[in-house]
Amino acid sequence: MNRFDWQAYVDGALNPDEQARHESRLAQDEVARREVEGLRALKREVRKAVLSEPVPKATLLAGLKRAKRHPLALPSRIAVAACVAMALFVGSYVFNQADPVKLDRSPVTEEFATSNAIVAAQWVKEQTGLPAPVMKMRCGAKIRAAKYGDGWAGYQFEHDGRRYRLFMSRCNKPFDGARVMTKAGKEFYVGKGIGWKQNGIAYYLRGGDEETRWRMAMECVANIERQHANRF
Amino acid sequence: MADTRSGIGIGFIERIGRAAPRRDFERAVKDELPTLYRVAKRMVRNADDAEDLVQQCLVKAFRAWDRFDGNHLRSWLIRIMRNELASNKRSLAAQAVDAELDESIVSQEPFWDEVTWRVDADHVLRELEELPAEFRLTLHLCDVEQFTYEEAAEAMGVPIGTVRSRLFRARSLLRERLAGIVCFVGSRP
Repeated sequence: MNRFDWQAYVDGALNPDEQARHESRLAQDEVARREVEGLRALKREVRKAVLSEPVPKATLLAGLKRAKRHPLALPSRIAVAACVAMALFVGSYVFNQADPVKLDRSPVTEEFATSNAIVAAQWVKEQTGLPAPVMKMRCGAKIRAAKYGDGWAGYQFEHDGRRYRLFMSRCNKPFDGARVMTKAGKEFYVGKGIGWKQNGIAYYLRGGDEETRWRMAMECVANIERQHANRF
Repeated sequence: MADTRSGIGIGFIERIGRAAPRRDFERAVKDELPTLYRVAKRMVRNADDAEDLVQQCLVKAFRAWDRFDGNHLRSWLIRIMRNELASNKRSLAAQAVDAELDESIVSQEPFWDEVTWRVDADHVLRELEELPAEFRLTLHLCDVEQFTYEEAAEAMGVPIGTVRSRLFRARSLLRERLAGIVCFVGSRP
């Protein structure tokens, strides 16, 4: 090696011979010395700046404990058993009110609690093959659970202490009997909740109050559109 | 008879051997949480998404813990995190294109000899965030987490030469950006 690699020198990535050759050069080369000092200062300041940022240790530790109990982290048979047990428990309240909108009304097959919108979407995708969108809601609605049954999947949200449920399905005519209205140039189907079709999937948002439901629906539409555009 | 016992014993030990690491997961990974969070934050550039990404990574890591070979835990976790990020459709392809910057914009002029350090941590963080994703991550791994080139290469799934060149370009770019700030700060009344 004929040239001097000051970056490798500063990073301690040279072998002992090369290290010695660089040190000997440094003793007689003012420009090289300044370069090395500059690199060291940059490394030092970057490290200092980043390490000054707070790290949410308690949240991360809680996440670590949660990771071990997460359905996706369990061996599949245990996960299925746990989820089926949970599904039997919670299945009864899904689609239990009269509503002109008919999405698939099969019982819940599996459900798991998560506050992570990405994990929820990933789980639904893995379980059902539906292109489940990541629903991070700016309006403040937090995801609490994901679930699916035969032909449908859904998320459960919480906003201001009220529960909302977003269902998605590939069924063709889910909104027969619903009132049709247009908002922001898009057709919506209104029953007890707000339904719409987007990229071959029917979505239906229920629960909570109407104003928040509309806000969430519009945000869902935007999320789905953005993610669909990124996918292709 | 001895063979049979031995066979059963080995099977039992193998099963226990597969189960035992799961119990070690929390202990092993706990110390890496701050690093994971910082790296995640460099990747996604905001605290909420970073927490989500770490959480996703932990779930996947726990699931794959039996298959972890015991070498370079941090690199392994970061690789999982990168894969998760890719699967989240936060286009790595776009970031990779980002990284293909023209090297000619990098100034080789040292400015350190003429100015003392006059930028604070906020400036450094802000300019760091502006670097292309792959440069930002390389710089973070090597300068903040003090990964060796080999560890960084393994974490990012690239050759060591790529780490070296990304690091060089990342530092040069950051230096360039900070030089601008120093000049600006210096010229203020």
